[in-house]
Amino acid sequence: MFRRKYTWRTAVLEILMLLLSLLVIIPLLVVVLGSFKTTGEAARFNFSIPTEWVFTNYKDTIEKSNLMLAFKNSVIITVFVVGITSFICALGSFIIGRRKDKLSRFLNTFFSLGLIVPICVVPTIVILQFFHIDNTKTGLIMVMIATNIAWAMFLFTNFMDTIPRELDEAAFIDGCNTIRLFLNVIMPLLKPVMMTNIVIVGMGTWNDLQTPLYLLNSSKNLTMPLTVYNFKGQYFSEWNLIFADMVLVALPMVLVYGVCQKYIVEGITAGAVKG
Amino acid sequence: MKKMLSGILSAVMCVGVIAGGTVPVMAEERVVTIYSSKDAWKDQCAEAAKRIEETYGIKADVVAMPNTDIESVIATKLATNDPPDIIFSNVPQTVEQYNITEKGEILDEEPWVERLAAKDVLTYKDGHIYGMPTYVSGNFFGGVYYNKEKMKELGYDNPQPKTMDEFWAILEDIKSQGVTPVYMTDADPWTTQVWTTMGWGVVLDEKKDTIYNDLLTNKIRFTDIPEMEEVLQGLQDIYTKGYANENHASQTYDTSMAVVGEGEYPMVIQGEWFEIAMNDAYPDVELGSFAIPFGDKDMIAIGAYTEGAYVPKGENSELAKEYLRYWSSPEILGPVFESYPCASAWVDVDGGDLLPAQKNLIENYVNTGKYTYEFDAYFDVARPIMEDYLFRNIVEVTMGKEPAEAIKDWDERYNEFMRDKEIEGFN
Amino acid sequence: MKKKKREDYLYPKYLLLPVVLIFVIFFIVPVVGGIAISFTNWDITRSGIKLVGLKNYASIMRDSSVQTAIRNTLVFTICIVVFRNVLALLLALAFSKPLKTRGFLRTIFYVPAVLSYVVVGIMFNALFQMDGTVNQILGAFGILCKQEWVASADTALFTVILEDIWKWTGFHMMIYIAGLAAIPQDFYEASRIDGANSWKQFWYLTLPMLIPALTINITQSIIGGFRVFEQVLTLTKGGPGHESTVMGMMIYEYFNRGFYGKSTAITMLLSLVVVLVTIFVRKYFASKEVSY
Repeated sequence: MFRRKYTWRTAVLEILMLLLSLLVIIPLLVVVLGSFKTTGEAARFNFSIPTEWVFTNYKDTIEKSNLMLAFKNSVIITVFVVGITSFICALGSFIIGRRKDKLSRFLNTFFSLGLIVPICVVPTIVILQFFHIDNTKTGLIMVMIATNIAWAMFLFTNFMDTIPRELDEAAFIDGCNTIRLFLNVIMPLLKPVMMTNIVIVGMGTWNDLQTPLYLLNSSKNLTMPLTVYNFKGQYFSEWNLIFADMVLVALPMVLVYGVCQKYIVEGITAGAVKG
Repeated sequence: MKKMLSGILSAVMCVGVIAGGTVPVMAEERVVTIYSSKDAWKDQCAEAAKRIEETYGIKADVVAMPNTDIESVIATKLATNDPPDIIFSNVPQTVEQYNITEKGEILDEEPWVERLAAKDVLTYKDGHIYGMPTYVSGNFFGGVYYNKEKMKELGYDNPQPKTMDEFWAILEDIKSQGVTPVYMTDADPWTTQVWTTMGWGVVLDEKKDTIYNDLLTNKIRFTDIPEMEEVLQGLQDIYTKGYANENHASQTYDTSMAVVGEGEYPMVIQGEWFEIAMNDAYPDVELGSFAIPFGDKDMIAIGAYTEGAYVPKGENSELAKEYLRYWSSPEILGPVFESYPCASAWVDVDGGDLLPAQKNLIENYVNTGKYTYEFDAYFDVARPIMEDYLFRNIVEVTMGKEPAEAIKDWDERYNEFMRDKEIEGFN
Repeated sequence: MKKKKREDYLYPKYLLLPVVLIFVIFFIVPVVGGIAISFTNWDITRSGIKLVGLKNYASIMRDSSVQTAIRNTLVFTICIVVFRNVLALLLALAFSKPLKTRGFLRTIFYVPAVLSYVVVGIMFNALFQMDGTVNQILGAFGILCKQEWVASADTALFTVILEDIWKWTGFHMMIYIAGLAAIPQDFYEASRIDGANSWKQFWYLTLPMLIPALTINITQSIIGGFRVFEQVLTLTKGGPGHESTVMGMMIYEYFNRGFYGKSTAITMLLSLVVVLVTIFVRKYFASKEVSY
């Protein structure tokens, strides 16, 4: 599929793609440019260059929204959810993938329930109260791990078969136990899937507005998505600050994706060449 | 098993606590948790809270969120027996919505009750007082608020139409001068329905002693009341006759300040909140007001609620009640009113000078007794479906739906809702 | 017998415990609770709760807003499954050519997926209003358009679908790119030698080898389609009236009214539909699975 030559047809395609990318760039431009405008100008929602560049919007947003606290909270929650989910699901799908018995088949279907049924807020809160972790970050983290398990298991089990069993056998002959095998041999090979999982679960957790809203609503536990609403009142909205806030909320995830994306594609390509 | 689990979870929590830096609250520190919508937690409230903390040492942990979110969060917390210490909400409008009769403290015995400026507004229909006003004595003084200078340019100095014909004539005249008279923001249905809640309240005023009760006990249906369709038709006429902005369907309320402030559109149909916001955003723009003479009557419809606070039953309710007592005191609120004048909720606290446009309505109509309560006030029991099925239907009328159809749809939904709630008379 | 014992030793069941435990306690148990609630008349504005059997299910089926929601959810799902994947595949195929700005373009197309719905909703509301950017651009091309895309009954759902495709196509594109990259180059060489043209290569070689990527993307689109909620919440709120409402939105509305019993009933109904559709789709793709 790879044609190395850069023909005029390729050039046409490239121009087309760049034009297409405008569809994405223009809306983003409205937000990014707006974040440097005054309130009145930002409220016009066009992509004109600001008449005066107001750089203090970002400082104002950070102070007024308590963004540092929200950032810290979101980071803690996302890191724990992504970390724990990735590990236990990689481990779980490894066991399921290798065993391939009735239990494995049952669990596959069992976990896919999580893809289908959305969260039921009130019973979830009751469960958290039972364990005395309601209104805590711990509780929220547990619930978000649970809601992400289905998708992560789906992802990992689909790729587990690409790692040949012979590697396991070789490791066992060398005297490795299961845990060492998993950590030292399997995990590295799962890198592309792991990266994909990190991006997907990370994105979902970072941008989740509804779950923290109901499960974690003290003012100390503010999370990033909620801060965007801080300047949108029923009666008055400071759009320039909203836009600045939106940029700050989106930036971390864009950066994470930027870093992870090469691993995702490269990793899978490397796997194919090897296979 | 559970112990091991709790152990693991506690370990994780410890890490989280250390990482998060939150320290569990000690018994000596006095804190009340307040849940409020972002708009109800005004700068004035933040100021009052600060003064209470400095003077009496009680801190307020405030959770403020957008309106729709805070309502369902509060409801969820009440449902899971984890209520906040104080709930800021419109009292007594939301008593049914939050089941305050069962879950809230009765505040009849509180020392501030005697000092109330408008006790009857606050009293719930079962005779008890469940909420304390946090600021003003009453809310919602609605009518047409206009940019004085712009209206003068168009030839109107303090217009006070006394009949609907006069009202329409003003609009038609402004239109003929090439200016669109009214700015409507129908992406926010609560603004669109200002017309109907006032209009219906006024035209049904003569029958108010019986008709609302009949509607609430299913002795009469909304579709049996011709006046309702008439008022709604009036709203639609504003659009069909070209008196309103073309882009009304997608404009939100917060855009209205700029257009009136800059003189692009002279009039809006709003309540006193508009003037308060304009005072902040465009302090140099003078606003005037007049009451819309629905049914050619000389009266306005006002709200039967005020922004207030409930105290849910809970372990901290004594501290919460103490907090509210301080809140209502002249030492705390007095200085706050100095920077933000309004119609004070307390007879012994001077609210300062009212802003001119709302002062006009309050002095000429409320103080002289020429008022009635808005339509919405009688249907607090149906608050949960008001936005979805009354306000939205009204907005659809502005986009061309037949008023009769809109009222019929509301009527059916209302009936079904009341039946679900097993209200007497609805089967 | 010996093999099974060895399996048990090498791949012990207890390593499954963390994932199963968390899943069961924090997901399955609440769902069971939800199912139980759906058979009651729990309403937070009143006390007293009693079992009412299938009354909730009957009443929500009669609700015309729910019927509109079912219809809209189906339309929405079909549209996005088709358009998200067709566009994503086309984009992914384009990236197999040696484009100079490949890295930049790949990131740009993916960025919308990373944004929260709050952000995207605010953007699209601004762009698609009557005097918004979209109509301005149309005007520049000579098409005078005064359509209120978001607020009109006929175009509200369409705008929601457009927003969804805008947001998620890049995401699916990445998975297709990864899937395409996994196809060994020699296969294409071999097929060319055998005389296959581009179209035949695509249909008989590329597509079958893309089955894993297709499965992931199509399953995710279908599930995402049926569970549509935040797109609508942040863009039209289901309006005007209830023209663009979807199942997820109706769950939320009933929840906000305090009718917890009915809200969970809609959730269960929706889940049932998705289960049936997913089973059907999985069986279809499993039968077409191919490996060389």
